[in-house]
Amino acid sequence: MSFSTPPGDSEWKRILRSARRGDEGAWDLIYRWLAPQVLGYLRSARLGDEEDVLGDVFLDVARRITEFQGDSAGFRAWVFTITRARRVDEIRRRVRRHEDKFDTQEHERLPAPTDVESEVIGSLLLEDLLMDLAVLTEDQAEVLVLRMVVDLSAREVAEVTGRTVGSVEQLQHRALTALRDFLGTA
Amino acid sequence: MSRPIQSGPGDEFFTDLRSHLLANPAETMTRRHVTGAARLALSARVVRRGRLRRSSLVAISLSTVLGTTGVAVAGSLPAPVQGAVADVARLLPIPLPVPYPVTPTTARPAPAVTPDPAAGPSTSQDVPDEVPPIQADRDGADSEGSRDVDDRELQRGEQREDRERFREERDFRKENTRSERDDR
Repeated sequence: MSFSTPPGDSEWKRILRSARRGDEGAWDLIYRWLAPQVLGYLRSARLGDEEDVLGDVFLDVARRITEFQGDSAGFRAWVFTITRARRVDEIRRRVRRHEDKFDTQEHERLPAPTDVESEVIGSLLLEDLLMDLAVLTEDQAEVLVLRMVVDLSAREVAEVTGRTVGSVEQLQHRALTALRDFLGTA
Repeated sequence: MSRPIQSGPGDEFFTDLRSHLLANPAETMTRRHVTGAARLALSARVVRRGRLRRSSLVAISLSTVLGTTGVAVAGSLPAPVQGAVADVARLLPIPLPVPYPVTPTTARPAPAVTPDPAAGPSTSQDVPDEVPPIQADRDGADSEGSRDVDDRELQRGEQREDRERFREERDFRKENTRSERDDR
């Protein structure tokens, strides 16, 4: 069983209780629900080893799951708060190592593609899209990805990023305007 | 490159971005992450439970000690417990109220004072001027607490009454002896 939309209240309580007990089935459900979104958010920052960071995020979530109280939407926001902290750590670590975002080693770390051609096209398209996002400031791009890709509400983005809802909405507005201008003139 | 973009989440740019970013992780990785998370949640739960148990035990012990100390300082514990706590506290040394005198004493029955008419006129030496002191009997009396204190008070009162009676009888006998002598 898996779900792509947030589970209902009673189902969520059951899943959360089972996950706290270390039930693998519950963790499988949570992972399959949230991992693609977390991974997408991490990929948008072009960290290079997003899947390792994803694993670290879920270990953090598992370690602290007893601290969490709330519904599935709150849980998703909480997971993204943890993810964001990990992402910031990873970016700082990369800066310390003076790593180049586009070095050849990074491409070597990508998993071996099953269909080389489609994989390459996919990577190029993603790279192309991320290059478009690069015209935005880091904050604008982050807010836009969380709002438009991960589909968090403005209030949830505010909670995750530690900003006010007004500030999130302003960043989103500016980001969309900048992106529209860039894509319209490109 | 030119792509249409709207402000809503349904535009082409974000559809493309979503379809390329929101990819499922590889199945082997999924299994590894899920297993790791489940195991860690289980061990974190065990650790948390142990920590909770320990801290609740410490809290209970601490509150018991503090509560007992408070009540002991107020001197409101049951006498045997108050005595035991005071004994322990005295070693530290912390003065606590005790339910018995510091040198505990116990009542000893007053010697029977029965005037012997054959003994002739009695002298003042016959009168026990002082009631024999109540001897300490730590073995028995210490544990009886305040009830013993009350008993001792009662016995003292009885002894005083006996003594008064004895004096009256003696005076009466002296008076009789004197009047007989005068008659003779």
